[in-house]
Order: sequence, then C-alpha cells, then structure tokens
Amino acid sequence: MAKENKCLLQYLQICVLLVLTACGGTGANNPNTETGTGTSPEPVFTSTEAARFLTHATFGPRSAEISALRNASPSQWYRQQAALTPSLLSPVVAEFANRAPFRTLWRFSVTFGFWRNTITAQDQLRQRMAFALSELLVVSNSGGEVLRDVPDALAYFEDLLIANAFGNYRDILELVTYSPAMGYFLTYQGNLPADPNTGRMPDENYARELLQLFTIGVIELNTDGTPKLDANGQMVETYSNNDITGLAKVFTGLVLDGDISEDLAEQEFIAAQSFAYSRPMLTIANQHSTDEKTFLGMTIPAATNARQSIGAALDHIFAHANVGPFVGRQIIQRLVSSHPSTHYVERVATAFNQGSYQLPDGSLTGTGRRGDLAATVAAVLFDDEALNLGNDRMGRVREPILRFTHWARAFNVKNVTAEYVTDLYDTSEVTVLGQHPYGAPSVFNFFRPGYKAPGSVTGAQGLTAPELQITNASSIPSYVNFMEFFVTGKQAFTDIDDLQREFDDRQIDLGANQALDSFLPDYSIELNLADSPAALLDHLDLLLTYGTLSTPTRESIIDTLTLIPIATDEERRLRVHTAILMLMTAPDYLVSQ
Amino acid sequence: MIRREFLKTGSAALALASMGGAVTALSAMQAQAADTTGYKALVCVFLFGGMDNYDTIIPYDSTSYQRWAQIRASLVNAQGTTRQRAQLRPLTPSNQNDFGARRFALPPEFSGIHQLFQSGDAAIVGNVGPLIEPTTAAQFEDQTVSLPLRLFSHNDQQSTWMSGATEGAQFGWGGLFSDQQFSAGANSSTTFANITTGGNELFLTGPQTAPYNVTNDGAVLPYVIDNEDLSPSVRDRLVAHFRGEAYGQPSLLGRDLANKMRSAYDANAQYNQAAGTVVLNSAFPESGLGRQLQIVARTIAARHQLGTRRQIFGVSLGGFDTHDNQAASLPALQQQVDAAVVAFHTSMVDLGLNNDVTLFTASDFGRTLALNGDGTDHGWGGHHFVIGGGVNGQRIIGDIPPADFGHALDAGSGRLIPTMAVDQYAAQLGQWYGLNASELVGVFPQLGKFSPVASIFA
Repeated sequence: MAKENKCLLQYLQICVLLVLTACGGTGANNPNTETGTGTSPEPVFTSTEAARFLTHATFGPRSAEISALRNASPSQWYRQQAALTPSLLSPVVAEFANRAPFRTLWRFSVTFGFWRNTITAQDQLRQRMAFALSELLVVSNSGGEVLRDVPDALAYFEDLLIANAFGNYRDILELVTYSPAMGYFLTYQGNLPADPNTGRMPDENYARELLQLFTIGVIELNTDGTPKLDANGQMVETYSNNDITGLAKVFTGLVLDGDISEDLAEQEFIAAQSFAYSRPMLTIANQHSTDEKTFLGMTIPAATNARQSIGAALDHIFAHANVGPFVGRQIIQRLVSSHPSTHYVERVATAFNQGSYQLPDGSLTGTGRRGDLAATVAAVLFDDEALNLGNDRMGRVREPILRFTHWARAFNVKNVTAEYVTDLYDTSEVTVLGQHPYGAPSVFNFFRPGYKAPGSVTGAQGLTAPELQITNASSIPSYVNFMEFFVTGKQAFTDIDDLQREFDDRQIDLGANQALDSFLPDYSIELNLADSPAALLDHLDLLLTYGTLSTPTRESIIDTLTLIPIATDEERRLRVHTAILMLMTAPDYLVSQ
Repeated sequence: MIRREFLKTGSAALALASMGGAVTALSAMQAQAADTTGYKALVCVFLFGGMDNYDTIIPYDSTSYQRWAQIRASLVNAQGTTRQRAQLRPLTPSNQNDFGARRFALPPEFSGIHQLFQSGDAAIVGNVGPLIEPTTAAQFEDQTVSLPLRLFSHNDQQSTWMSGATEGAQFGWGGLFSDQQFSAGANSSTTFANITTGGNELFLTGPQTAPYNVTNDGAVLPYVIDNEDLSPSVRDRLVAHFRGEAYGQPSLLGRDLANKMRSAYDANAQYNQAAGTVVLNSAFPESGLGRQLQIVARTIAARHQLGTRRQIFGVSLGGFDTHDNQAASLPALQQQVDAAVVAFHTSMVDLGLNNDVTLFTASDFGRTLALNGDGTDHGWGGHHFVIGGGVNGQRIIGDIPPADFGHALDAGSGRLIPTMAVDQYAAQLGQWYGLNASELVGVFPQLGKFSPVASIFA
C-alpha cells in the first residue's frame, strides 16, 4: 500500500483522538465562552419558560431540571452544559463487546447506548445537538451489513458528532469525509478514478449528497434562507451534473486503515473490522484521480493528491454563502420550529457566519471562526422565536423518538437498560415508532427538511413540516400503542420464560428477569395528585407541554379521569396512566408550540 | 350487479348534492366522463433509488450483447453465470419488427415477469422519464431545451415522477385521477380511493383525495379502547380523544394533527370492518414487497365493502440506488419484485379481476451505463413494466436506446435522455383508469408537446 502523507495522517488521527477523548478530561472542545457572568442583566425564566427551553435543548425536561433552571441564569446553564464531559457511544459498544460472547447484543449496542445516553446522561444539550446533526449528516445502519455487523463504525461516526457538537462545521465535514461509516454508507470507500479503457467513472454518490444534503442544497439562498432569484425571477440551481462528475474525482483513493482479510479466523476478522472502522480512512496515491478536478467554479490542478484535493474541495464548498442558512435552518427545525421565520433563519445564519453569539447575559460564545456550532446552537435556543410562544404558523411536530425519551426522563424511569426491552432494539417500523436513532431508510433521513404535507392545512400555506412525512393512519395509532405499553408499565408483566427463550434463541446472554425493572416509570408524584385531576393536569401540563395545554383538551382529560373511580390503588394508577397517555397523544402535545 | 352499481352512483350524487347542490354540474360531468363503470385499480410499484435500466432490459442480439457485456464486464463477471447470454430470458415481442435486428432479454431474476410478457399479460415501456419537451443530447449539451429541474437528484426526481414538480409539490397524478373519478361519481367517498403502504403519499394526493395508509397487516387501532378494565364511558371518551375531537387551538400544525387523527381513526375502524375477514386463496411471498402487494390484494377483494369502484394503490421497494455492490444487491431486489408481482397477478386472476387491475413500475431514474467500479450512478430515462389483462401485452412500447455511448440519447456515461415523457406514460394509465381526453390534458398540460406513442393498452 502506497500511503501518502503519513505524518499528516497521523496528525489528523491525533486530532480526532484529542477531540474524542480529551474533551472529556480537559474540555478542549468546549465553546470558547468568556468566563463568569456577562455584563447585561439577564431575564430569568418562569417555570413554563424553563420547561419550554428545556424541551428544545434536551431529550425532555425533568421536574427537578425545570425547578433548577427557573430563576437561574440560562446563559450559565448553557455554559455548564457545553462544559460537561461528552457521553459517547464507543464505550457502550466496548462494554457489550466484552460482556457478550455472541454478537447479537453487540450489534445492537449503539442503539442501547443511544437510549442510555439521551435519557440519563448529563450532557443533554450536546446529545440533543448531536442527534440533530445525525439527522442532517445521515449515516444509517438500517441496511444491515457492515454498519450493523460492525457497530464500531456507527459509534465512531456518531461520536464525532457528539464530540464536535459545539465544534466547527468545517471540521465536522472533514471528519465525516474520512469516516469509514460515511465512506461505506455513501459508497466512496474504495472509490477508483476513471478508467478510459473500460469507461469506468468515479462513484458520484458522496459528491452529490455532500452538496445537496450536507452543505449547500440545490438552489442559491439568501442569508435568510429564501431562494435567490435571477433576472427572470427564477430560482438558481447551485450546481450542474458536470459539477458532480468533477467533484466525484476528489473522493477517490479513500480506503480503510487496516488489513481485513477474508482469510482471518472469525474472531480476528471481527477485531480487524472493528479496528479499521474506528479510525479515519487512509488515502492511497495510486487509487486517487490524477485528473484535473473542476466543480463549482474551482479547478484543482491535475496530479493533486487526495488529501490536498479533499481539503481544497471542502474549503471551497464550505465557503459557499448557502452553508449558514442551509445548515442553520435545519438545526432550528430539529430543535425548535418546523417553519422558522426568515428573520430567525437570518439571525442563526449570521451567528454561524460570524462564529460567535452574544448570550443573554452579555457574554460571547463561539470562537469567531465561521461555522462555529456553539454560536449557532446558542443562536437557535436563545432566539425570541424559540423563547416565546409564536403565532399559528409556528411550532413543530415532536419526533417520535423525542416523545419517548421525554416520557422516560419526565417520569424518571428505572433501569434504562434497553437490552432487556426487545421493542427498543429497532423502533423504525411504522407499527412501532416509525423512527429509530441512526436508522433512517436512506441518507434523506426519516423526513425531509423541505417536506410540505400534501393535502394539509400547513401544506396549503406552503409551510415546511418535516415530521408530518411520517404521520399517517398507521403511525398515529401505532404510536398510541407503543406509548401505552410503556406508560402503563407493561414491562413489569413481561413473560420471563418467553423472553428467556427468545434471548436464548437469539444467543443473547442476558437473564430475562431483569426485564421486569427496565424502563419502569416512577409515578410517585403523579399518584399523589390522582385525587385531584385538575392538580394532576397542572403538574403534567408543566412537565410535558410547558403550560400550553389548551382548555378543551385539558377539560376532556379531566372529564375522562373523573369517570375513573379512585377507591383502589389500581384505579389510582389507572387515572395516572390515562392522564399521561391522553396528554402525550393529544395534538397539544404532539405539536410543540 | 348492475343494479348495485347504479345504486352506488345514485348515492354518490345525493351526497354531493347535499354538500353543494351541484346535481346539474355533476350530471354534466358524468355525461363527459369516459368511463366510471365496473371496477378498476392501478397499482404503482415504486422502486426507490433508481432501477438500473441496463440490467432490466438487456441487449440480446449477439452484437449488442457483446458490446453491453464489454462495457459492463466487471459487473457481468461478478454475477457469475447469470448474465451470460445463455442465461438470459429472451423476449419475443409481437412488434419485434420495430427493432429490426436488435433483440432484447430480461435477466433470469425476472423469469416470472418474462412469462407474463410472453403470454401477453405484460408490456415493457421503454425509456420513460421526466421531460418538458422532446430533447436530444445536442440540445441537452448546448442547453437549448427546457429541462426538468434537479435531474439526477433522488428526492426531486421521485417527486417529479409522482407530481411533475420537485420536492415540496402538493399533488400527484394518482391523486388527480381519483379526484376526477370521484367528481364523475365512480366512488361515493375518497377515503379508500387511494391507498399506500408507505412512501407514495405525494403521488396519491389530490385536492380532494388524501391517501389512506395501511400496514402490511391491515389497519391499526389503539388497543386501549378494548381495555376491559376501563368502563364503556371512559372508552367512549378515549375514542373521542383519539379522533382529536377536543382540539381547538389555532395552530395550523395542531389542526393538521387533529385532522389526521380523526381521519385515521375513522378510516382504520371502517377498514377493519370491511377487510378484516378477507382471506385470499393465493399465496404471496413473505418479502417486504410481497406483503405489501398481499394487503393490496386483500383490499381489492374488499372493494365492495369499502364502497369503491376506482382505486389507486402505492407500494414501494427501496435499495435500487446501486452505487456499489450491484452484482450482489440488484439481483436479490429483482427477484423480490418478480416473485411479488407474479403472486399479485395470480391473485387478481383468482379474483376474476385480471382485466380490471393494472400494475406498473416507476422509479427515480435509470442509471449510467458506465460502471463506477462495482456499481452505477444516477441516470434519467428508464424501462418499466405494465402488467394486467388489459395491457397490450408481449409488446415493447417506446424505445430501448442502444447500450452504448455517444448516441443522440446519451446525456453522458450512458444516462438515457427519455423518449417518452412520464406525462405520456401516466396519461395512458389515466385513460385506461377512466379519464377522458380533456380530463387528461387537465392533469398533464404539457401532453400536447409530445408526439403520440403506441398504446400500452389493448
């Protein structure tokens, strides 16, 4: 193997290692915020404002967190969150690799890690931002094969996003480009240059999606996210197919860093795969296109090597004015609002472009370098449009994954051990949640940022509503059934013998009896309020809908609860279960205003 | 039977009259409408990712085959013997004369569809894709022709196939077809006119028609409403809740959710009542597409109970974006399509509906003839199957451009410039479905720009 730029490569690997490990201990990757409080008097949150903010910034508020944030400094909360040690997936993968002699658990370990970290970890804002990025820079293991069989690949990729959630988008693009998971998913791992003798052309997959989905999109944008129009009032496409064929040459000569020979014994083969998929891909000189590479008005001269070509190409693409509004609008959509105003998009894009943002207490966050995500996410969360109840056109449909994590956090579920809950291994089917972390059907995610639901009120108004793409006559009742299982604590009634047989059949090395305690909610507060449906609804309205529950829905739930007698503990539980199930399946909850 | 059909039409007219008092207008439309009698269904099998046209219809005469096998040598080698000429399934179309010495074959994975073709129940429609106007390679290169926007982009070309416009479009031609048939009185309601198992919503949506989503196992209802620990009065309230009845906020998204909850609940309950007990005599494969087409067949079997005489179904299969590993992945997909489609055809014959149901394929685009190593990249025009007793079978309709580079329909690397617009393909399906000429022009305003093509239907 002719390896080019070995020392640069080592440098890059060290960088990645630093990013992945050092930010835990030293905070090297924390946003560059001025220490101490800022100079401006900072407005404090009411309880409902705190709950609203935490709905955007976490995987669902808990009562204690709402109390802690009320009357505290939101800027300080943000800085503290950004300084927390990242909770990564790789350690979970390692844990299951060690624990299970058979591979089933290990293959699903990224999923277990996702549920564990997003529900229990302290670094909630980082986790939430990384999840948003995972729906923009999509890699999915839904196709099975290597990305399922080698969980290290997805763990390494998602850990890049987690570790760099407050880093820089340009750096992420570099890390993503060299990641074996993306190389596999978008099929440029092992991509070869053109061969005039056979007519072979470089694979165009990554070149196209890098432009269309990860950086600039298909039409020229103003900073506020609206399309730029030409002299004839027409939208302007950002690239042609010639740009794609030109750019495709850049992503040739990238291969796994490790020898994976089919001749290895099984355990060694698995270990070799894990090794190679947990580090950046290598560049190989004789597999990289030596042609001139022309795209988007740039020409990389003939005979430029892979690493230089990739660096130059990413710099050039990243310099495009679309990146700020294109990325910024999608982060708003993931955290706050499906159809943000153009002003909101412009403010966020400006923070992205300036690389800094002034927090409510007057301090600055961000390094000042364009693409700074600490500044971008702060601009998203602290915008007036995020902090205040908007008009009728605003809000977003909560993603099914976030509804479930919200329930698990709000009711402090015991034992977040998804390995005992087979329903949580894969929630992507429409008859389950219709969504699974890192399990999108394709690089286009579960829903598109530009989706306008046909035949809907929002669609008729031209409003984008991505999550409506997975909202239909099958997903609506299936979600109710999924939630009913967990809300009513059916885990506690698991047929242990059945489950043990299933574990044994699937070579899952677990004792089924622990399933009884997994994901069991703690309703002690709610049970104490069960005598008074109104008080119970006040409590749930803060915890689940930050005070936005409408009077008719509230009265409908109270009337229903009142019909349930409360003579026994069983009936008391029934009231609580019914209240939570009804609230979490009401439009008032499903759409966060 | 005739009396029942008459009664249905009568009640549809009544329902519309009570909504808008439009009896006169409705009668006028019925007079013009080409056909609302009997039962007819279209089934769209959308192959997501872009099916490789060069591995769908394979050149079979020796010269063309040799050239194809040379260009695709590494892929042909990687597939073992299955792409050897002797292994292919040669087509003997009744219009072979249109192609002179050029002959064509299907890959062995399509052996079931091959039989349907040979027996006259399947047609091949060649080189279909989005077009604004007739286009040549020179015009494409010189940019002297109006082109569909965002060619080669998955989501936009899927959207363009379904609706004629890029992502964000609101209505598809399947939706508009059903709207027309509803207006003409063929269906008494739009609830079960258009049905999807997921992924084709745009295609199936019209101003009046919203697609109904059904799972492979039928309709889903909240289990909790059957929970006997709850009193009937509580369960009644839960039903009202799950129908979104209480919601009264002005939020547009909230209204969408509440509307969807209500229509979902009502349709699911009605569907289960109508189709819950249907048992089919014929078997389907357990594959994803097999199970989708099975629920389509079950739904068709329950057409009377569902109150529909015109239906359009959308099913789909992903994985056709074969940038790499095509030698392993594509044959498995082809096999799945073949087995599922043949089972569906058998089932329609069994129900006595072979002449009344037409299945057709669609896909984002075709692919490059050039390889990128072990796969192919995004193309434009592609070849498709139309299957059913009503089809002008054992014919290749349209063009199969040569598997070579540099000809007048090569947009680069063998990406085919379509010679039949999606509009033309769709309009023929619409005509069979029952729309008349003026209604079709209403759905496809560009239709007049293209020269007429041979008829897909007998």
